[in-house]
Amino acid sequence: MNVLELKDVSAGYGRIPVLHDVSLTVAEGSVAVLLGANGAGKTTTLRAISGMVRYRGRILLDGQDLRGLGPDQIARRGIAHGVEGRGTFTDLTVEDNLVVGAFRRRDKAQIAVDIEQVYTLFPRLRDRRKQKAGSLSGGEQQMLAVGRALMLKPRVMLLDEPSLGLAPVIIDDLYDALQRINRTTGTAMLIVEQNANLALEIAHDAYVLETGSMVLSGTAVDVAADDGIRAAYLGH
Amino acid sequence: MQYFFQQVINGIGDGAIYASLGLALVLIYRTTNIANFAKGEMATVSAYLAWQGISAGLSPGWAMLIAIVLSIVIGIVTYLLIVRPVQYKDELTIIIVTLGLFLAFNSFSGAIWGFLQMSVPSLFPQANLGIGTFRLSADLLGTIAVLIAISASMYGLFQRTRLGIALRASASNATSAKLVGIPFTAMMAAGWGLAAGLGAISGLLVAPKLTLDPNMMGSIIIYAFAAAVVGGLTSYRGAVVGGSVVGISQALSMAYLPWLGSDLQILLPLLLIVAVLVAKPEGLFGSTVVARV
Repeated sequence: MNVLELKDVSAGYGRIPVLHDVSLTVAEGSVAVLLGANGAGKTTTLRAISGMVRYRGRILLDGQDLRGLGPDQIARRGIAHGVEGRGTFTDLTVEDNLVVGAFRRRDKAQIAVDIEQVYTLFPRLRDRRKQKAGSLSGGEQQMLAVGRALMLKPRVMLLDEPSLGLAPVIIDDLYDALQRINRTTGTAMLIVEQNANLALEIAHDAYVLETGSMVLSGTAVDVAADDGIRAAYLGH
Repeated sequence: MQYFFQQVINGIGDGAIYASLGLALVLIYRTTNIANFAKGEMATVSAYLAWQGISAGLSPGWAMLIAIVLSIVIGIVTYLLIVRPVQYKDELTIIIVTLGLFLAFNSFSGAIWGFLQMSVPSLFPQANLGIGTFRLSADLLGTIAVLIAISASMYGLFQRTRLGIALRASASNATSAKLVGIPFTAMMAAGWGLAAGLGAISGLLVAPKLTLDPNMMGSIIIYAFAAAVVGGLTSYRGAVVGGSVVGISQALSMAYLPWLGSDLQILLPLLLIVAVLVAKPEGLFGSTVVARV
């Protein structure tokens, strides 16, 4: 069963086309990674899914067409989008960021439990729970962005370059956490990355975009073994 | 000394009014990033609505309550019809639009209710409370009580409720607010509605003290802006402190600088605005906006 399905999606900004007939699927409980160089259309793909750009084609969440819904309605249906540059609420506290992440939910008691779970996953956020999110380091903000996306209890989590600008050791921690989240909660993920190595390690499926078209798709293992991909994205 | 403190107390009473209107300005600025110059004129319309209710035979309490509710509706409609289409235009456009709203509401009051001065009864009794040698009027205590009630409910709303946190999140980051499922336009409209309700309360506090005419809030709005700017235009606490500072300094200047005359008293809040902006451009309580690149 596919949680998320894109069928021949084309999108652009004004008259400038960016995506051409992109199709991809994210299976229930799986992690898919979307690779590609700068400007390949990765971010636009995520923005189309969460209703922030117009598109042609079809985007389905649990088989339901999302056409015509605004970003807030799509979020309430269960898509959590962690934008590039993190998009935390900088003048809210860390804890309020997590609380507001659960906006679509009404189960107050469970929300408190889930906040604790985020703190267990990212202990540094617990230490800084009363601080304004704007005062966090880049790595902490990224953890907060992931934590906030989790609080939505999403059907699928979209993450845009979660490793961007982070120190290698922090990137390792973050990907460990993402893998743990996927394994323990079964949250499906679609991760956009330029830094392909780690993403391919935790992913089940992989897609490669080049100038707006899908040029390769398959299991993460197969894509990682592809000679062209190794040369272009894996650096060996 | 006794005279001095009596002036300070009177100043706090006026300051509470500036603070309540200042809170409305801060609320609009924080939710929609707009300095609403029409806030005072909207409050005047609210006061007229209450007057209309009282003339129609309603008790002052009910008339005022209905006026506040209607004002909230007017605030929401104003946002949706007029402000929303220009919200993301450049600042000059927005300033012109709010100045247009100022003229529109001002003319609306004049056209419907005329320019004759009318009186609105105070909700507070004409009594005085003497503590030692000080005289505290019921009006003064009532005004301060209203401000405290407003501040406490705003604090409760923003810190403790789902709507409050959604409002704060929308003000902080519009895109992310939508991405967690917050209906953003509804939040903006709610911000304008709440601010219109607060403005209505300040209009209802002012009307019995002055007389009701379309230009009633003309100088009050300037004092309220002074209060809000002292507080950085982004801080609710700042608006309350700023309102008191402006009210007290105004009362003291009237008492000790009588040669300024009533027309020049308005210089004082303006000097305060300039002094604060020169010394601390982000306001005494404002937080500096740091852009992360």
